[in-house]
Amino acid sequence: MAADPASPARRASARRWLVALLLAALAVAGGWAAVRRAVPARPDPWLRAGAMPSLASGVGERWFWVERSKGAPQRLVVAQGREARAIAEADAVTTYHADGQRVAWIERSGKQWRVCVSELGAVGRRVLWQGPEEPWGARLVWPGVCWLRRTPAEAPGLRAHPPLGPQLEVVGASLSGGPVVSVGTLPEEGPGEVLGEHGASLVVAAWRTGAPGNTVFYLVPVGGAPVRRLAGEVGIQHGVLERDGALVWPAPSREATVEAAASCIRRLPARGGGIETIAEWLPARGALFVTQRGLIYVGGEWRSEAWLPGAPTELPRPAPRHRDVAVVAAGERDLLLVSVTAAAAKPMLYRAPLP
Amino acid sequence: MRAGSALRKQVNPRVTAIAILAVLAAVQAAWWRGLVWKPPAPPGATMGGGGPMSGPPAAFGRRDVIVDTIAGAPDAGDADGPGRNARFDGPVGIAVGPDGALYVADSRNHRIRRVAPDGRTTTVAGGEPGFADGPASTARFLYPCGVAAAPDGALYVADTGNHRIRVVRDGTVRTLAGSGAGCRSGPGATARFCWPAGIAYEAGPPPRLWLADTLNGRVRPVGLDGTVGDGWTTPGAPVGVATRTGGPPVVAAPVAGLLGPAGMALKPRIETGDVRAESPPTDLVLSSPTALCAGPQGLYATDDRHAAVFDVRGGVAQVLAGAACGAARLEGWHEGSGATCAFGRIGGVAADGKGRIYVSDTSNNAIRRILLPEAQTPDDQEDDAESRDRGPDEDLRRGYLWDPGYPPPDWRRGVRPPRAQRGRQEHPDVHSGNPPGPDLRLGPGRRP
Repeated sequence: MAADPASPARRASARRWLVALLLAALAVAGGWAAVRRAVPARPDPWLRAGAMPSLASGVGERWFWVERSKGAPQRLVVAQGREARAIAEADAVTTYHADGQRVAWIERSGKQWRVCVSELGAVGRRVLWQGPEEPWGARLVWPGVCWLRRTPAEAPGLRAHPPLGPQLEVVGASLSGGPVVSVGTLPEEGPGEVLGEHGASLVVAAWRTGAPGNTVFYLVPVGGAPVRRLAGEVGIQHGVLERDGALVWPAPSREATVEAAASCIRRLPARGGGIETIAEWLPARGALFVTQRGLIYVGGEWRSEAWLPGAPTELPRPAPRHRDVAVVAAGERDLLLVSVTAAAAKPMLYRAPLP
Repeated sequence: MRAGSALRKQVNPRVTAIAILAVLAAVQAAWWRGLVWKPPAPPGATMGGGGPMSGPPAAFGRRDVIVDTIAGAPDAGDADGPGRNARFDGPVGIAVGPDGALYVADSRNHRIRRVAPDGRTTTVAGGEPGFADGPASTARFLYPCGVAAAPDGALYVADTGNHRIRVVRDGTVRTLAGSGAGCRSGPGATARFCWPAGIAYEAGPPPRLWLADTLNGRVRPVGLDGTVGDGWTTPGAPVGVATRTGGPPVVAAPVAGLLGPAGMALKPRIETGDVRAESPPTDLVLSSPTALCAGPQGLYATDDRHAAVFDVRGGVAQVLAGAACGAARLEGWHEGSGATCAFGRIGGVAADGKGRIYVSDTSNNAIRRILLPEAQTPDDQEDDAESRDRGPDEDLRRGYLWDPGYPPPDWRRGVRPPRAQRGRQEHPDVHSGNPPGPDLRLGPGRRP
């Protein structure tokens, strides 16, 4: 007694199966969407770096970083589209700064230090200064490059007396070369970095090394007026200037019991007012970046994440990221990520939109 | 059939099942490892929390002394206030006044500060950099580095950047001697100095001042009427000077050593103050002193090459507090016993003659205090009991002492605020410790 395929009972059974299958499909699709929402998709691979990038920064469509392959010199790399090329190769590339048209950097070959500048669309470079003493923190400041250098103490061993010890001189040179001119002198030994310009002044960070060390931010008027201390902070901190000129820097947490275990972000407005804490309870030892969407803090842990400082009363949250990648840096327009699923000598890099 | 039967006899079903399960477990473990495995971090990316497992041989301070911070904190600033709420920027010279307060030459702030016995810091004179006599609030200094207190309440200041000696008395600042850079003896304004950094008061009779005229390489007597004598030349650049009752002044000249009046240089041998320290170095000498003061039986001195305070007697410099090491400066900002504390670069030292030694911790922007056993109260001893129980080797393992190449991952462990501040924070800026030193890691998000 085979059932008639066209019988009502058979059709009802088929409908039940169809409905069940539809519901199952909907459930699977919903679950999949929920998972994708909670777990971001792995970004598309961009290009493979020569080594783990450090000092990465994104300027417009370009990304810059410093890398060193095993047994090879250190390279300053610029990447655009799907191509990366080395701008400089030296025993050490300690710092650089790029804008949309050119890049300035400090390199060491043997015992010789150089401050160099190069047009991004051109081949070759111009050496603005070279010598045996290490310069620090070069920055493109229109119409030239400024950096820091140490002037020796009047007599050996006078480092415990600030006015008698080594001094930190802010110097600059035109992009076309020419003499190196002094902009100002700080009662510091260095090292340090030029953070940028605000009005007719440079904002400079001086680091007092040692343990724990501290960082002092100065305003150095280009016209020769006396330098002014803006703020001091515990530890060696890397500050940034926001677009409105506010000085922002990461600092040890003001709330954590063990301050070094967490970071906060401190801000000194350009228009005056006191120092304020704009975010707390961030991962320690991270770095700040100024992007088109404001400040982004990239944590210092191995699988680092990008954090958007929220309101001061809110706990910050990391931007979602795929578990196979870590955030290297935040550029003006996007994030640079690196694969952490394999200890590759030449890690795969990814780009992702800003959170 | 016979072969199959033999095989069946050789195979134990239970062993076979266990083997299959083991293989499955291994496959699953490999699969799971693929899920959770992460690549090893680059060298230096993780320190594990222990820091260096061993340090270079060092001579440590005495366990029976207690070191704490009475004013200031490492972040530079210019705020008055109680205890660690106060901020200094490069404090150098320090002196104990007749009222028991401390007077500090706050060099980068161009001010003279007063730390009252209750720990509150106020500004005595100065403000913006410059040169101006007059009421203390409007007077101007330029990088003052030395200060000496007279029994009558007057403060004598080595106004280093202005090449002058200033005196603060009854709320008024005036110039005692000097009028610009140069090298000349004579009365008042006719005298010339060149970056004088150290000054000391000698009770006499007759009472007078001794000045370390640093870049002239001279130590010069200065009468309280402002008359400047020739003094004598020193082999190095003198930065500190101390007077002792009934004896000639002693001068600290980096690189040259401790100098007597005839220019005789003394480079005392450094001895450990901690008898339990294992194999302390025996070849260290105090060769680059930067500050000194008279003690009841000798001198207290500091050295540019060691983050420590020394008790100098009879050709021996015993480490009183801090650590002396030939390989590196073991810097830090850590309280505890003399054997476990840590200093930064020290620019000044003063003693009150009652077992308290005050240290101007220049690079930590703080005023530190060393309590000898005779000055300790039961409270002090209780506060320090935990610190004294730890040995220096243990502290090295904990990584609070900085060694080049090893960023201290958590050196603040063990730093405790003074008893009065425990359990609460008086100010959001108050912090009892500090973050690691320069980040040496080159990895994601890192900037060297």
